[in-house]
Amino acid sequence: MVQSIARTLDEEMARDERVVVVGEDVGKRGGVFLATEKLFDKYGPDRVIDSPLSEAAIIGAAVGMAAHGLRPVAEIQFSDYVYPGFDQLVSQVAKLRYRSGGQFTAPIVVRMPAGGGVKGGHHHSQSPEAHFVHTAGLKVVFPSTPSDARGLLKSAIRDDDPVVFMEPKRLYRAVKEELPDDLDALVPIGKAAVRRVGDDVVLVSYGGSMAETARAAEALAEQGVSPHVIDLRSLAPWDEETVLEAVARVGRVVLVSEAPRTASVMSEVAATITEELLDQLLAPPLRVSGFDTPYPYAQDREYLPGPARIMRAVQRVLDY
Amino acid sequence: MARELRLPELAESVVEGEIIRWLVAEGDSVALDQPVAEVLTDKATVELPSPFAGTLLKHVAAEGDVVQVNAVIALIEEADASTAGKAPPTAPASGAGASGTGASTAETVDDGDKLSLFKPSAGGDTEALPRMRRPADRSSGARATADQAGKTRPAAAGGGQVANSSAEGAAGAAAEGSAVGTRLGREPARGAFGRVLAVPAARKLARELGVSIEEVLGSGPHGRVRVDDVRGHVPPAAGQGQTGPQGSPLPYKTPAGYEDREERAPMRGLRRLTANQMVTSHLHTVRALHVDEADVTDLVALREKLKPSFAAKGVRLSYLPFVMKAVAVALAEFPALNSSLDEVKGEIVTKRYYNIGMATATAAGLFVPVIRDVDKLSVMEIAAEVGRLAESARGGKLAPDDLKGGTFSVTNIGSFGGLFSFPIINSPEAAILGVHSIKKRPVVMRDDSIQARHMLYLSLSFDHRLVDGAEGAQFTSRVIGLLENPVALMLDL
Repeated sequence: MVQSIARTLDEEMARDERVVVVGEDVGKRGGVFLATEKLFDKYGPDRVIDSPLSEAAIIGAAVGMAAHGLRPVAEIQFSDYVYPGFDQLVSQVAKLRYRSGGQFTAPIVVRMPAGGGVKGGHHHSQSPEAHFVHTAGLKVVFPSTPSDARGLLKSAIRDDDPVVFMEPKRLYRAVKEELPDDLDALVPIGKAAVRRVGDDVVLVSYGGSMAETARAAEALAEQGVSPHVIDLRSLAPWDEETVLEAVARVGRVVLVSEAPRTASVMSEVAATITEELLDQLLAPPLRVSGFDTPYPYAQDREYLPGPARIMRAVQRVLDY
Repeated sequence: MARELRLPELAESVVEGEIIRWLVAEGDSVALDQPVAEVLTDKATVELPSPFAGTLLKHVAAEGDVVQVNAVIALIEEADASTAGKAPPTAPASGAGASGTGASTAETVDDGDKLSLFKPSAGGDTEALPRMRRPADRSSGARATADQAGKTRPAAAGGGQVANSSAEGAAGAAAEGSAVGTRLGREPARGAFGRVLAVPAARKLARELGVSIEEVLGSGPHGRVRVDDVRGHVPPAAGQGQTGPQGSPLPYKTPAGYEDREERAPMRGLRRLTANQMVTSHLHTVRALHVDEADVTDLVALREKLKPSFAAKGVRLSYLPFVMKAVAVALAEFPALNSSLDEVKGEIVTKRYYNIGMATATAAGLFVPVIRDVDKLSVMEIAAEVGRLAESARGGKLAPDDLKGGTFSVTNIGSFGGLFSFPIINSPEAAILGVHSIKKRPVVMRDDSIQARHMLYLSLSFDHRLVDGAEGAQFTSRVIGLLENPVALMLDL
């Protein structure tokens, strides 16, 4: 997946000279995860900019570049580090189009590796997507496959509005896929993917948790339970239609995300399902999530919603 | 775009309505809010306005059909689809991909099999995966017992049990031990705030089928009612809630040779509703009759005296307002007469409000409009309300709410002659008072003289489950006392 991102950045920088990359160690080092590998050699220091250790400066500089016609792709080394840049992101990036009455847009992509599962402790494992989803003016995507990462990153770079591009770091080198040759193979922002069609329960997930959801789905199918699996891919806007259609048909839904439970993206999905489809539900929408605690140093695997927890939730909605 | 016209909830707790007449024919255009049909509910006829403008494609329900609230009764091709609201998705839409998956729906997987990308190594699960109980295993138990126990039902609480030819004893006992059929006489499973435990989709289905969710026995955890429980629910026959034996409908056979001298017409509308209500009352009450007479000579004189002053205000004064007033006073003293039995919960509901229905014969049939809070009204106000409701009833203009909320009924049979009658209780009320004609009769007075007095027969028909004979007699005596001494009645006002 991380190679897919590096390749996509290369493709987009070659396609459009306004695309620049800025972030900590993104230049000579090629990024700590090598998501910007070789870009410095190819495009030079004017378009691949090593920034100081200041997320506020990275995002703030991106706002200025965007206002002057560039299409910056900012990298936040870990999503956990975004908070010093939060003011720039929420107050400047998200508002620029509105504050200028449409004179300026902020065609900025802010990439950030997110999520746990790499034994990184609480400062390298968080899933802060709800902050951004809750901020009007930002689009938020969180792909789980290399081809979605490529298609969504292309869409994000070409979008005139700011997109927070979250990357499941524990899948960087865990999922492999042949990418299409088509340089314009876009994945539209706001469209979910149906990964499996089934009749007994709808599983909705995104990002890193798609891995556990996929394995739960496989185990369920082996045991005669037919899961319908949806990868949201986009969190803001999210694809209500695809989710509601499936839940209206099946009547049971389990929402899987490793982010802390309270006020999470899945809380919003659950609320929408309840508001729109109450009469068609056979069981309450259940969330399988991370916990309302700081991400632990130990019990990394236990914190993440694994297949067993997902399956127990499925059993609950089946038995309800 | 073709839109569904559904029968709306025309009044609170109305669950069904009868299509009396279509006002817009198939193929005709219909304007927004134009009345499309006349619908009869609880004896009130209302015109149903169209929520769409366009062309009426099809009458899904025919005239004479009784349809449940929310059921589709017609299809209307909407003229301007852009005004159509966003309907919640109910049917699966076909996915973008072309490859079929062999699944039972039209949906397809987007973009091929991506789930297999996630190898176990990506997560390194260490926890053993649970064994799932499969859907078939989950529900088979409840279904099997439902079949075994069939259609038997435990008898209602509060007596009134009638010997049942279908081995009630054995099967009823079996039903006690299993999750089957209806739950009459048993307490439903309740969650927080006293709500019956039920899956939302089961509630919706129950609403659509006109089934009370309280009567469905749940097979889910903690007795929760599920969709299959509602589907498998054995509804009390013909929309009634009766618990006794329900025979199959009786056919009528024309005697040989009389074929040409009989007519047949479908039983519809008010006649059918009245019949259903009578059956409900007959099967759900234990009627007892108490008859007495009142010497209303003084009341006759009083009425004659008051008539002109009432007439001056445009109010016609009959005897009914006095009777209602007396009944309201007596009801407050004998609350059992103003109660109802909740058979489902096995509870007696005593009402602290006095809404008295007055049986009213019209050319269209029998109505029982209700006068509210009679205890708080003057005779003048009651008389005015009697006049208004009687006129509305005869003009077919009663609103659904005019017919609801009665706690006791009075039926004035006197104008049609007869000595006394045995009225049918207007369920779920506890009693009804028959008021008969006032006639002069020779009466032996206290001093043994014989005088011509204005005499009135009263017949109280009461549900003996709720009201004992002594209470019935005392109540009637109290009403008589007030009618015989109208000054006392006035003092009670």
